[in-house]
Amino acid sequence: MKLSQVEVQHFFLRSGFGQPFDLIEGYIGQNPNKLFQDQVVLSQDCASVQIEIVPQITMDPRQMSTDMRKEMAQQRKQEIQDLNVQWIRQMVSSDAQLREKMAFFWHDHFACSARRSDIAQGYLNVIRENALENFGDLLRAVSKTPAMLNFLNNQQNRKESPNENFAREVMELFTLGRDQDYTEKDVVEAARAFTGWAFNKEGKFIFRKKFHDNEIKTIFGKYGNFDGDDVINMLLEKKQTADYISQKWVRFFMNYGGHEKLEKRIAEVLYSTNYDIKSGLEVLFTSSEFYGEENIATRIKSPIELIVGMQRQLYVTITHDQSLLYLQRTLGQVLFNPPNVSGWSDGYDWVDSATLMFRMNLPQLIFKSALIQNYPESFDDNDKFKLRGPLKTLKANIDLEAMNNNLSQLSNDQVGTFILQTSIKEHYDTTNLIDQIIYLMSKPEYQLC
Amino acid sequence: MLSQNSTRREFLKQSAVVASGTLMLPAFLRANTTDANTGNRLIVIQLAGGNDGLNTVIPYRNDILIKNRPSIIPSIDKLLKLTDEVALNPAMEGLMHLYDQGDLCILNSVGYPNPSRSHFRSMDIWQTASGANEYVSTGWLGRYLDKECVDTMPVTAIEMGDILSVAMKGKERKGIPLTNINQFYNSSRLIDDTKMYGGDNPSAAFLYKTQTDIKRSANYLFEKNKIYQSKRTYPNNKFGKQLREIAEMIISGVESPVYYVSLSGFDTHNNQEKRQAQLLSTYSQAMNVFAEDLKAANLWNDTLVMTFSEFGRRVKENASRGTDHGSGNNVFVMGGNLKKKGIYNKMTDLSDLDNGNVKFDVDFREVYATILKNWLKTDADQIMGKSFKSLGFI
Repeated sequence: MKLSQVEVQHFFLRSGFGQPFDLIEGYIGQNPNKLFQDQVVLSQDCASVQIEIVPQITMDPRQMSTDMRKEMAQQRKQEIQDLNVQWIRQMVSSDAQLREKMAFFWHDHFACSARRSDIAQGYLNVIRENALENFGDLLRAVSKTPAMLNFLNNQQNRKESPNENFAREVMELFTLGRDQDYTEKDVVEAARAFTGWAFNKEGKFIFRKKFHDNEIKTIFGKYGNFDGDDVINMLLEKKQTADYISQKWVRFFMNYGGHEKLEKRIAEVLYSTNYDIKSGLEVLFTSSEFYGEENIATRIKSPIELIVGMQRQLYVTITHDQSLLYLQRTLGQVLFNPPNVSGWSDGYDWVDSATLMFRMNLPQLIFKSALIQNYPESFDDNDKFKLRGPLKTLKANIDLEAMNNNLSQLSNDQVGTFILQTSIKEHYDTTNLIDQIIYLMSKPEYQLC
Repeated sequence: MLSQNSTRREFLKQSAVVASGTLMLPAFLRANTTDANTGNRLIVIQLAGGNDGLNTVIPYRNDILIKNRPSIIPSIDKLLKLTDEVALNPAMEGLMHLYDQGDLCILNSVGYPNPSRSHFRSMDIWQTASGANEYVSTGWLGRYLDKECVDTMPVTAIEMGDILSVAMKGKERKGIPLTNINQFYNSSRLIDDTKMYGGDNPSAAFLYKTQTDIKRSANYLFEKNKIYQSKRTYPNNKFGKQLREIAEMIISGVESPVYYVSLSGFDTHNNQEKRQAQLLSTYSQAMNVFAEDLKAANLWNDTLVMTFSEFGRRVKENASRGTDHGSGNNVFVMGGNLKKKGIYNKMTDLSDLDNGNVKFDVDFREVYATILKNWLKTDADQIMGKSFKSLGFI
């Protein structure tokens, strides 16, 4: 199978955040396996996202002055924002695109928000380091991050007063899928097994033995004195977990409607390799189904895919931290701030009248650094992504030389196909390359990938 | 009712003259006359951040309250007394006025089982009308739009602000968020709706349809804009301006069944008394002027305003002269056509608390179901996903 320009772009838009034209051009005529294997090699590299964190003061908060508490809260807020921005910059600049895209997928799958920057960073690096390796290891590691234990209230899950939140979401969101292959009773019993999983003040996982329910539980029809690790092992033994993960992959990477046959093939491989993520993804990205016409340019770019993608494809760099936060907030997807435990609602939900108009005006704003008038309000005094007032300008750098070198020699149709993933037949004025790019990016088709 | 409807038709006729040359108006008029909806409209006001209900509608003689709140209760002689037991916060003269006119109904202890004390989660629950353990991606008003909106309507529902709340998101239809009509119109100008999409990519077709809808709504609102300009004095701040804009849209004949607006800043963990008073004063003044505006236009009787907050606050005040996140709260319902006026149900029992928080007496989904069924005349059970009992306030 020899891939066309559109198909090569399709692979890079879905398995990563898109590529500049010169790189696309080099792959035209190659086969899907070559593209995938190259990405696997490049993605062996896992740069961790590190920000400078002022160490947590171990003093009892009740003994701090109000000013001291305020200052600390401000510091944490700044650090979470830094982490958010660093991660986006990493998505933009990294060659390990498959890893970056998978980490982004897992952030939605293991949706989590944290107020403490140190535990947010710990969580992020767990999903980055395990993004392409083994799903079982990833699941075990994420489940033990303080960020997730805190987010799903397992800190409050104690023998004498069990909190079922963590056990429920591990089944409903992380492994089996809602109401698939488990009962309400399994949730209640599994919650008992997870009692005692907690973290300490230093932000490290600990097993608090005295809070653990050390009695017999009945989970999935099995009878024993199970702990949290046992439950996770039982979940991985269920074929349904592999089915659920491959269904989510196909819907996210290929088509909103899913594809039953392909999902089955991916699930088989995932299960038989003991959850090797790369092996499962290989089935997806090298299948002929993936390159089917019905999948090309049918996905609405999520806000992060849009913000990162335009910087990767079009020689633009958004240099200003606040600008990056504004864009996420206004378009409705802020990293480390999912709407709830089930993550972001993907697909047509990204689009309403305000977000579509903002998306279509965005190329103008970026290329002409115009004033942004919107400023989403917050209702939480402690909101870590709270914005203050409208943004004066959207600060971005454009590498005109690279843009000219790569695009100015191309035909209108090639540029159109590069930016819009479809051949556009209409005639338009093309005296100026930037105007041409702005024109194409402002078309509805640019929202698709 | 008849006279109000005819008033509105007159406005529409007038505006048809102003809006000469547009094609959608006749279609829209047709849609309106065949619509089962009675023309009742709903305004939802969200007090974001968790308004302290116990310091809004105050059981001022309650010993438990007085003991738990030594510093934040306003002095007794300033309170606006509704009964021998209950008073409004002194900042709420406007609301007091509406109460006196029989335009206000206060529901106490509104909440839901297993309440969340996270802003985001609780707001999500209120806006999607889900249970505490469910995650739903559409809002209760969005589902109403899904059920009742038809393609010929030039606007679905309007939210004042930059971002559309999940409350206004349906599966098929969504409300329109806007800061003000001019800005909305200006940003819509780059839409070229002369080019129709002819391909077979469903996502592209969806985007083209959405942009056509935007263009049509923006043109419609721009043409209606300022047919009526209010001469009244609204509070000179963002919320005041938003309420003025809503009143002007309604009186100018904009046919939106639902308006949504949010007033934020209620997360008063410290120095509550002054901060909350300022917000309540803005809210209550704006509501009073809004009611006057609509009354003068003879439109108050087919208007219903509902105000909620994602949670109330703890009974006991904290060490910073503020209050922390709690549960259960008041809901205000206003309009010229209330069946139950004044105080709807008994005040919260402060001697029977759940870990320092008030227990709920009325499920908020009963309030929604009542509004959907009795006011918007739609299938409440379908929109709410199950049957909730109707309350008699409307």
